[in-house]
Amino acid sequence: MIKLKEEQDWGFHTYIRGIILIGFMLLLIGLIANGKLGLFIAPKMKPFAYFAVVVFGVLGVTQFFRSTQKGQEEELACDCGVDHRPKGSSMKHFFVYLLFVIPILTGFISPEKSMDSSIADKRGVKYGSGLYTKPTTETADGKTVPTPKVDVDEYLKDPEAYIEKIEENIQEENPIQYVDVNDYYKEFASKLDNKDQINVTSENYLDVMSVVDIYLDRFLGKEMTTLGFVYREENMPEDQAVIARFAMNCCSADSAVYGTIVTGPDVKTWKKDTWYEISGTIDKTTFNRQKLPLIIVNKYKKVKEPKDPYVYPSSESLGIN
Amino acid sequence: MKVLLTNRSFRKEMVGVLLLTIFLIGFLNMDKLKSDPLFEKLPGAFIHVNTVFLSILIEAVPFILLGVFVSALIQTFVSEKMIQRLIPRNPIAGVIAASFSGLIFPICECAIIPVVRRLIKKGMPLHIGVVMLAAIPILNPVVFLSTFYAFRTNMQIVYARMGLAFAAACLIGILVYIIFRRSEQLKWTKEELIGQVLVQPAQKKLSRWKQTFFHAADEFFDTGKYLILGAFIASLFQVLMNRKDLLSIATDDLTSISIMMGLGYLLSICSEADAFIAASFGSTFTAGSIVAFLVYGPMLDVKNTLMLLAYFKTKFVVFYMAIATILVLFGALLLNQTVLH
Repeated sequence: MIKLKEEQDWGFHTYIRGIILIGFMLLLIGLIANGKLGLFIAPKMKPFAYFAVVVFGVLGVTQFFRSTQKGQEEELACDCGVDHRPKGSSMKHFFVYLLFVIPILTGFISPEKSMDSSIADKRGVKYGSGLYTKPTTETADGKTVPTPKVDVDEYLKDPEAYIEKIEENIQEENPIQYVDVNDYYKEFASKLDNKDQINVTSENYLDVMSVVDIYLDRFLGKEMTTLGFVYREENMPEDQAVIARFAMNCCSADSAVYGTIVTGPDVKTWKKDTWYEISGTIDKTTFNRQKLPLIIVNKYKKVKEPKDPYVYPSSESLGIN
Repeated sequence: MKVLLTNRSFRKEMVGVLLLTIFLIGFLNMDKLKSDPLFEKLPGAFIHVNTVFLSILIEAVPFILLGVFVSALIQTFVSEKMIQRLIPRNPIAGVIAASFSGLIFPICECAIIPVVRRLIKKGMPLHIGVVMLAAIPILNPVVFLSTFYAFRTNMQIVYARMGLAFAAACLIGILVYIIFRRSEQLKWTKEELIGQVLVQPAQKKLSRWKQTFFHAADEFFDTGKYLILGAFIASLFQVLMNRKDLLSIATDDLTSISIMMGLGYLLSICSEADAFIAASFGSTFTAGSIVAFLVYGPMLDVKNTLMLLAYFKTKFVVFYMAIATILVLFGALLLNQTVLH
């Protein structure tokens, strides 16, 4: 009798598990059909989600067969030496299955929100190119050099001697190096050189942002058109704002905020998180001791948030063709 | 008794039907539900947490499925003898060979745990398994490429990431070999221990493919609960933690390295994508702390800690976490003082 009960229980577990697996499949199919999958993962990860749909389907259906009387009898004959039976009280099982059911349900009902200013506030906006550079400072002639280590104590003791020493160091090390950017960006920049008007789209967003930041001096005075949501830093003057986009690499957990600083007389009336399409002239500015592109807005219009608010690294920039 | 039983199974049947009905209603009315004013009024932070939570799940689930399938295939098709033949007898040779196994299995940290557990159950030595856990999520071609693209202007970081991961993984393996030798550190159930003697390719009845599917489903539920819990905790940190505040307290080498390691642990980003996040921290952090983030995050994060605790004895997990932390911390400090200076 006891054995019979155990069998029954295990049959029930496989049955519930089958339904949960089908639930995951339905959730993924629903998100794909509604075009919402893009708010969660990047296009290059989508094939993996399709794979998951198939696997969930197959596993779910086999679980149903497994839960039948016949399936259970067969399984008793399985000699694989692995204990399939879950242990613990039924209360524990209830909570474990609840854990699986919750994401399926919230996936069905909760509206998705693309990332906005509240997230940008916490993550910090990345201005210019997303390329990592060691901390740098600008010298008087506009060249970028690695930041010398600042020793506050020493400076306080004898400021003049300290500055002198730093200047000596800079000359000794001769650290003026240009950032070595790979050929793709060089080529991309020379393509943009011939144009007077640079159109930033979702597809070329990250490439144009990187190139315009790296070779800023070559682009001064050109026209640029771009799109994004309004973000404001605390220490920003009133007539400035950031036109920002979230860039996603694999999923929204790894998204980072990229932005361009814009300025103009009407900018102060813009509300944060509203989307604007703007065009203006490229100039330069310094923000948080970093030399950055600045767009002087001459035309702007409010637009709806695009269906796919994210931008992705272009496959060319990743070296995949 | 018989009546009772049927009654009981009828009730259970209804639980399943109800659940399936709820799923179907949700599925068919997804558009309407999502734009329902009731749900649209949910607080923004809740919606963000939920979106990030589902993102992590949807991104990780295919890889978990891949991992449980590989694990199930190993369970069904690979014999213990095969494993013993493949592994070098010399522990140092074994550790070095294991640290390069990512070249053959380029998988990330979610998929690796079920596979390693299965291999250890099949008789692979513990120190080899630990090296695989630590090394495969970093020392593999996919992760190398993504790190390369994110840091191509700074190749030192790419080499430092790979180098530190290799050194740390090997040292972890050797320390585990010295301290734990061949002692049993996996959690086994009583039935498994009895069955262990009997483990051999199944004889009849259940086809091998059916067995593989069953094992994969069982393991998905085994591992999945920790993934879901971990993804939820990570999404809370993702949305609610202020990263800008962290930047302001990262004043010296030690604190900035520790902060980046903590961040790598809490954010639980897949090792394939973490390089881009690290690059976006930009010039605020020293090169050594960026490397620490890139090595420590894949070795340990919220979701794989939970998975490890489920599969290995607590004492062993604590030991693994402690040496991984110490090695990465000092490795990064050393790098900052020497190569990356």
